[in-house]
Amino acid sequence: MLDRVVDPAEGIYTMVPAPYRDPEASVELIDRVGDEQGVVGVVFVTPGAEPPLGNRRYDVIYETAEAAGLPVVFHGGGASIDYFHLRGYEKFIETHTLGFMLNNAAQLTSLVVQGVPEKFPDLEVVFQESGVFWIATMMHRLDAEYLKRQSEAPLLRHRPSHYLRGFHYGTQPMEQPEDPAHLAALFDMIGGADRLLYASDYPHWDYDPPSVITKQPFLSDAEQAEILGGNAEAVFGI
Amino acid sequence: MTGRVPVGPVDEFPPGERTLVTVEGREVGVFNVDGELYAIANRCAHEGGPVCDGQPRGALVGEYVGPGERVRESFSTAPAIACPWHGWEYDLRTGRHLGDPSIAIPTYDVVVVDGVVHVEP
Repeated sequence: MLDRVVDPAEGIYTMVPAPYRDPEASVELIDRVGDEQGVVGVVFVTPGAEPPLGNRRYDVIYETAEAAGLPVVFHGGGASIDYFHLRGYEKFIETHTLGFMLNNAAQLTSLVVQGVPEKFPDLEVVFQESGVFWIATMMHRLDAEYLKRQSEAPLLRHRPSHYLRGFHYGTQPMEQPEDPAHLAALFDMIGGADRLLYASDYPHWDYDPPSVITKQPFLSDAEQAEILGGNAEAVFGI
Repeated sequence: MTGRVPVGPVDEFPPGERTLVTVEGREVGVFNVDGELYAIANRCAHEGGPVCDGQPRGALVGEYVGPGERVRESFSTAPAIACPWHGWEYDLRTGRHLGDPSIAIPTYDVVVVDGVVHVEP
């Protein structure tokens, strides 16, 4: 990968795929390649993480990434060929609607409740490939639970939505309501354009072209530029 | 001073005791927790539930002690009370929600004058 594909001069970067079931091996891999040219993050594939990724066994991975200045990126998964919670669906669209989102939601819930953002305050956190509307659901749902049972998340110093507004999110596959005002309200709810990183997922069947951003009437040119590149440059240090 | 609301003789208000009084038309719970007196509005900021029906206890706190270590949890000496309806929990001293200090319900000073506990409006 590093020898033949990654080429920052051509705009091609990569991330360390954390073999997180073995936290020590993950640390060794970050130590070995984390400072190579073109390596800009540590990626976790979110389906199948047992225990979920807020568990203290993964602390060493986050500690190492934070020290290396590498963001951690949680990448959804969970379409029909993967292990999936809801067996018996008959169409791909059924699992694909929920799988990526549920797996990211499961890990985000664990991360926040277990206090990872408080344990590692300089760690940049990104979730990707589950669209954007789930973010607001998680904010409000976690807040509602937390206000009733905050003693179960004793490391938190703010309500959960505060931490979610500190994360970044890949946009793809971005939901596009018929009324753009609804998308505008969602962007506002999750902390504005600077939370979002345009992702294409090309050439997968559900890829998003840049026009999913450029055609939104409520985004200024500056906000579009942030989402399409500026935010990612800042998060990944490129 | 006018407006002070008498609660009762201090020697009839031992640790563990609580009572309700009306202060300027609002129901207020008065507590003796380990010898300290507190008064807090009996109306939860969430859905108006009877906060003062809750059981005072120390606020649970957690401490991160290192990577891979279990978060160290303990009950602090900060007195708190949780509304029995949904569990919204407040610091008895400040009235602030333990999970989000931007949420608060009124608290009142408690004074003992001539052996009688009073709530200051």
